[in-house]
Amino acid sequence: MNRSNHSFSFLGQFFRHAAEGLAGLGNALFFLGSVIKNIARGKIRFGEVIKQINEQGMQSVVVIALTSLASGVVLALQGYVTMSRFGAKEKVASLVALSLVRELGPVFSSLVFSGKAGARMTAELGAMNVNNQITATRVMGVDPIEFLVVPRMVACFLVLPILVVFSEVIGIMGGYLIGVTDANMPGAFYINQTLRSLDYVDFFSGFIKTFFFAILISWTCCYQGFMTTGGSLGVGKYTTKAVALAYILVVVSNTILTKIILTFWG
Amino acid sequence: MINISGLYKSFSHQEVLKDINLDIAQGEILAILGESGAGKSVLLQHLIGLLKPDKGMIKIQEKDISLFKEKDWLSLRKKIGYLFQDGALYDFMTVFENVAFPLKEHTKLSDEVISAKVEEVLKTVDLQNVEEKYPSELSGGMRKRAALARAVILDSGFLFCDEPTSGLDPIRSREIMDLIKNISRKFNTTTVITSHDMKNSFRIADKLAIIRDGELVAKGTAQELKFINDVFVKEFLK
Ligand SMILES: Nc1ncnc2c1ncn2[C@@H]1O[C@H](COP(=O)(O)OP(=O)(O)O)[C@@H](O)[C@H]1O
Ligand SMILES: [Mg+2]
Repeated sequence: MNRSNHSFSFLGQFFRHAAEGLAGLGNALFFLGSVIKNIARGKIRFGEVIKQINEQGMQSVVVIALTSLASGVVLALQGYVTMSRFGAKEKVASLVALSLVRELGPVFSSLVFSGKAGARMTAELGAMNVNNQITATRVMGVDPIEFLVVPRMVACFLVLPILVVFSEVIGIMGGYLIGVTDANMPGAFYINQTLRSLDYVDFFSGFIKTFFFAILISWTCCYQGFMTTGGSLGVGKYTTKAVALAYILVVVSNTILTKIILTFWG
Repeated sequence: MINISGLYKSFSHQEVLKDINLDIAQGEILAILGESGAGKSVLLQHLIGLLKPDKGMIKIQEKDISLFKEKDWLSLRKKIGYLFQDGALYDFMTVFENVAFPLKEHTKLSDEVISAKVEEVLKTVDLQNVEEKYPSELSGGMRKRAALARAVILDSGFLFCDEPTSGLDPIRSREIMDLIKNISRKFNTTTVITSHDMKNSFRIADKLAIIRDGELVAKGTAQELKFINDVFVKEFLK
């Protein structure tokens, strides 16, 4: 008796969570719809966009640089060891460049960006929500989506791709450092190898994904900010939730996008 | 001019407002009084479209706002100043930018004219030399006054204040209520205040309305209320 009750309540809970999840997705889509409607009508505050580009870029640029420098260094170190086994150590430059440009640059930068700029979006909007500033915006006859969300999302769409290209350049520089010191390659040779191995398809197959990541990150983080309730505790809770969701969305969408891109562009 | 008739509102199974009927005349100050949880804020939120009635009608200047969509509201709200309990100033803007915000959004005035207007309103609410400060650098009373300045800067005609004295000491409470009265007269606004601050409300309001458990139990001038023969009202007014 007790057991069936348990399983019943478990099922009930499962369905309730599923229903809540669906309703949440509906609301999130509606939210994105209002953003797109504003953008389509040209309601973009360029001053705010510039301010946001500055904030989001400044906030994540150092950590992104560090991450990609380290990735480039590690790729080159590991690459040198493994490629040596196949007697192809001069291919290290290609390995570093291709890995960074096709995959690691876009994904790592987007993850770091979620943790810095994304978290900030949620925390800022969440704090504004719990202090009634978002309601106050509506009450003053201003659409809060247009005033607060559109600039953040547009800025993210513009700044993340720039950060990704920057991270790829830094990562390749990291590889170069190892190539010329550890592996004793002539600098000109390393650069030449890098440029020769990179096709525009390699670059764009990674770069295109960045725009999807930008939309997913800024959408999730702004939406969670707008959903925030429960005072300062709530701000912490929703910010963590937003970053975790952004990570999952980046990683999962990356596998799907990679499959699609490789199918057409392999 | 605001007319509320037969207004009902429930949240899930809780009836929060029951058959509210209330007329508020042009230029009048009305205080809605009641214990915490009585439904005062819910009533006020109906007047700016943050909540929709389940039943009943609300007219503002002869327009039935219960039929309004968010788009209609965005334009009507330019005519309404709303003072939030905690001020709800933007914390990423200075006091000046906060007070100037409605003018920048809804008028085409030049920067000089906006500056002059902001300065004048800040003087009216007795806030000086704080234009460049951020809300977090102000005291609670100063934040309320800055928020009040923002609420009336468009010369809106309506001023709604939710618990303007909450969180303030008796002296600041008295000051902010007097200020609301002065501002209402100066800008000739139709003003609605929710409060549980009996003394100050009686001092500044033209009319008072008492809500208990979502029902309007008494309304009238301070004089009229003293003659109402209802146990709750008498207890409440003591
Ligand atoms: N958005 C809401 N959802 C559900 N219940 C609410 C909501 N807003 C207010 N209530 C409930 O309505 C009742 C009246 O609240 P309120 O108008 O805020 O009281 P007060 O008179 O103190 O301002 C309270 O019991 C409150 O819990
Ligand atoms: Mg209240």
